[in-house]
Amino acid sequence: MDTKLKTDDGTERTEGRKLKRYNIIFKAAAFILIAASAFYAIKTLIAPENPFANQFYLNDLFSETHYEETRQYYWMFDGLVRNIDTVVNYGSEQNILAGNTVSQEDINLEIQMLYDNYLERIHRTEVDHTSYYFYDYETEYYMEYSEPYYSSGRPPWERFQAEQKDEIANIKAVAVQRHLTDFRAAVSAIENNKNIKYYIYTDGEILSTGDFNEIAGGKYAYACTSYANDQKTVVSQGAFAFDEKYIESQSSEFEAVKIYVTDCIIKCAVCAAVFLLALAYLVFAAGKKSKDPHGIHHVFIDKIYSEAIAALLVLSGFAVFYTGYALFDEWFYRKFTYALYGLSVLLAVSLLLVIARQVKSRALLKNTAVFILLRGICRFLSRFIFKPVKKLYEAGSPMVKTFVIIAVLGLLTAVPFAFVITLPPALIFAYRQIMKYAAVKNGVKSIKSGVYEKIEVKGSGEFALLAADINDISAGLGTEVERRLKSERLKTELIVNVSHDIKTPLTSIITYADLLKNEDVENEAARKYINVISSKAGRLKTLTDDLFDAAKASSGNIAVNFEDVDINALVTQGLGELDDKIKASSLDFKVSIPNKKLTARADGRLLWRVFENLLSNVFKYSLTGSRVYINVFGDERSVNIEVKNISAQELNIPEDEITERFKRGDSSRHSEGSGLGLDIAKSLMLCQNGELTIKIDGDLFKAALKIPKSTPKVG
Amino acid sequence: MNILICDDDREIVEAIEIYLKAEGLGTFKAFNGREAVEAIQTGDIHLVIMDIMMPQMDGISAMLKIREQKNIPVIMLSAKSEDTDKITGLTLGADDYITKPFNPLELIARVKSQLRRYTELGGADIKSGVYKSGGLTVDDRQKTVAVDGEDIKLTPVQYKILLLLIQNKGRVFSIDEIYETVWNEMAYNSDNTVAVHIRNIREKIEINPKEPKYLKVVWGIGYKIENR
Repeated sequence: MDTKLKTDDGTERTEGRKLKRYNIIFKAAAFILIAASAFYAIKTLIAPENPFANQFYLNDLFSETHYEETRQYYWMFDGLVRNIDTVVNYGSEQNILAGNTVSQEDINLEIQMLYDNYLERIHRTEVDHTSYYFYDYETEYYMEYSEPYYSSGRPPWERFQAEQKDEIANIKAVAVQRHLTDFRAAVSAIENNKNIKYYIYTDGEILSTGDFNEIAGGKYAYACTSYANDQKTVVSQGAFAFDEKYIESQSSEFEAVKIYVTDCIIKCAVCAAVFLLALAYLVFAAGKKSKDPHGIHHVFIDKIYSEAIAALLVLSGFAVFYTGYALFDEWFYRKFTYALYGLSVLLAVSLLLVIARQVKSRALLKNTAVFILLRGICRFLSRFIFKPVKKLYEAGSPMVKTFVIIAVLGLLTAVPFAFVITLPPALIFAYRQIMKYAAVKNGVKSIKSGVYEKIEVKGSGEFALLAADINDISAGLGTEVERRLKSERLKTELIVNVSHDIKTPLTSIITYADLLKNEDVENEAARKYINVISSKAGRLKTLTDDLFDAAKASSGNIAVNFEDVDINALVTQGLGELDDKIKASSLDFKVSIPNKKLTARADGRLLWRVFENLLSNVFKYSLTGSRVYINVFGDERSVNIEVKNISAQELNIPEDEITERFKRGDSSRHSEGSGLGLDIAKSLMLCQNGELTIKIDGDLFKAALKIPKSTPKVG
Repeated sequence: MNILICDDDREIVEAIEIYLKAEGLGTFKAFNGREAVEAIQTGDIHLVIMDIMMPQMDGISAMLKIREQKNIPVIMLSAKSEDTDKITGLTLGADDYITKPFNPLELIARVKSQLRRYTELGGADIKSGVYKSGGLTVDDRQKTVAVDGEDIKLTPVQYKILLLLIQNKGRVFSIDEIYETVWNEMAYNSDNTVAVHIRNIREKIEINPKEPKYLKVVWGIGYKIENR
């Protein structure tokens, strides 16, 4: 029952060799190898067929090469030496019974020990401590000082002597008895040892299996002699020597055990290597399948919580340890123990593989009960607390949002030291909101300057909604502006093309009308008609030219050559140019030009066109005999030309419409003129960064030109 | 004297022909650039009037072809009235540029002016005391002024102004400078005396005073005579 939890987006690189790498047979073989190596290792270690394994210390087996260097030999030798010494020192049973072996120092020492014990006992039960403090000048502290206080008042030594009189009297007898026991045990230990030759001389009696000198000169021997006060008379003497054959047999046994143990260790190492290799393979192959070498496949057991798996793994580890340990000294149910051992090894490996699979699919943490529990809690909180609050927040107006934020912050401030948790997210929140606000602000600024870029604000907050609305508006504005520009351009193009096309036939009309005039036409009426055609053709020419100019000027498609223009000179020049017309008209020109030179930044030729248009209007529309005022004056930033005249006709159009194309002072359109003069003038002024304003006050018509002042050159 | 008239509009060609014949000039007709180039090779032609926008070969290309062979005056005649068009035409070799619709009398005047220059004044020597700009000649020794060989009558003040400007061709004189030089007084108030005189000089020496060839207005600065 495989459960495929996760599969890499398999680029199917299924080569033949890879196919077999995760074969089930390989895995089974690895399992068998693990079980076999674990089993063989333990079997080798407990070694039931090796009867001498326990005789030697493992340390000696590894570090010593000769039997004589082993601890076993040393302790055996040392025990015999102590026995010989005991026998020689005590001399004989008579000597001990005579009390010669117990000195007065020994007895005093024994009494002292008894007394110490006694003191300790009464201190525990009877003694009160009276303590007082004194000032220690050295350490500058008050120290506690206490001394024992014996409630009975009688000195303890006397009490001890009285109470333990019997024990004190018996000390010597007990010591003699102990020495006697020791002496006898030593003699019997020497006598009973089959592996040695010995020689003991005490109290004139010789216990021996050989000659003293021969024994003392042996290869593995020890000798000891006690002399009388004259330093010559032998009181007692002892010696022993190991049977050389015995040592040889022990030596060869040691060698055999050593070889056997080394062999064991090699076997165990091989087993361990096999075990680890097989385990490594299984860990590597865990979850992989030959058919799909890149995916991680899980079995049902993988769904168990990771903690349970880990706990079971620890338990099975203990089981392996305990069953293995039990096999060393438990001889009952041996087969059953073996079975338990094998099972726990396999269980541990299987559990390890479960963890390996979970690690591979990065599911180890996700599969822990703690994680699942926390996730459940989080989901519960998000579903029943955070989401409703969020919903309330998002659905609400800015007022509601502010309320929610303040309420939450208020609640949090009630918790002591909550700022540690609340401050970082609050700062991040504030930073993000400020960044969003800045994005919206910059976006609006760029829209204001005519760049219709989209404002990017992520999320679904207030600023994102605002940005989306602004984006909609700017998109609409952008397309509208584009559409307007396009239609304006098309209109201009149309006018330019049409005026071109009109000019050619118009040329013929003008020319032939002129030719007709020169013919001898008898008929008076015909002559009159020819004149009408000629004059109207001329008017058509003016109209076409003006229309063309208007279209060019308003599209801004005109070369502007900025220079410093002397406005006084320009007005003077203009009035000079039109001098004949001024003189021919009945108008009275009142010109006011300051003596101070006024220079403006403009294109003189275009400015003249504007001025000429204004004056031409004056000639066309002024009331006969009225005065015309032309004022030139400068202010801080600009130079101004004002033209004021009295209209002959009633001005019945609003000021803001008079500069529109084809508008004329008389709505009946009887007078000459194209109705484009002011439109051209206005467009040309805009091209030069200037401005033309028209004011109408009753019959007073006032046109004002405002031209930027030229910046004075330094030096 | 033979004039080649070239325009794809037959009526215009014929009308111009009528005017030229009335002046006693011979005419050739062509209705596109190619015909014009052919006519130049066959006929004895002294001046060409050429439209720009024509089928098969446009006026500019035709003029360049003609210039390869002959040095006769070419007057461009076009509905294209923008400055850039005029500058292009004149730079590429046209001697004059008239925009449609034109005044027939102005056209005739310009034709005659070009012919005079081509035939009579072609190799005139420049003597000292004689100042020239294009077809304009001021002879300071005899105190005479001529345009394309025709004498012009000027008042003494007008003559002084013209002499000042032509003696310093290309330089722009302000109103005050002209006043102070000619009248020999300080210029106090900016009245339009100088401007009116200039206008009157232009009426006399220019074919079309609104589009002056010689005495140009530099608006807002002053006046000058073109250096050419």
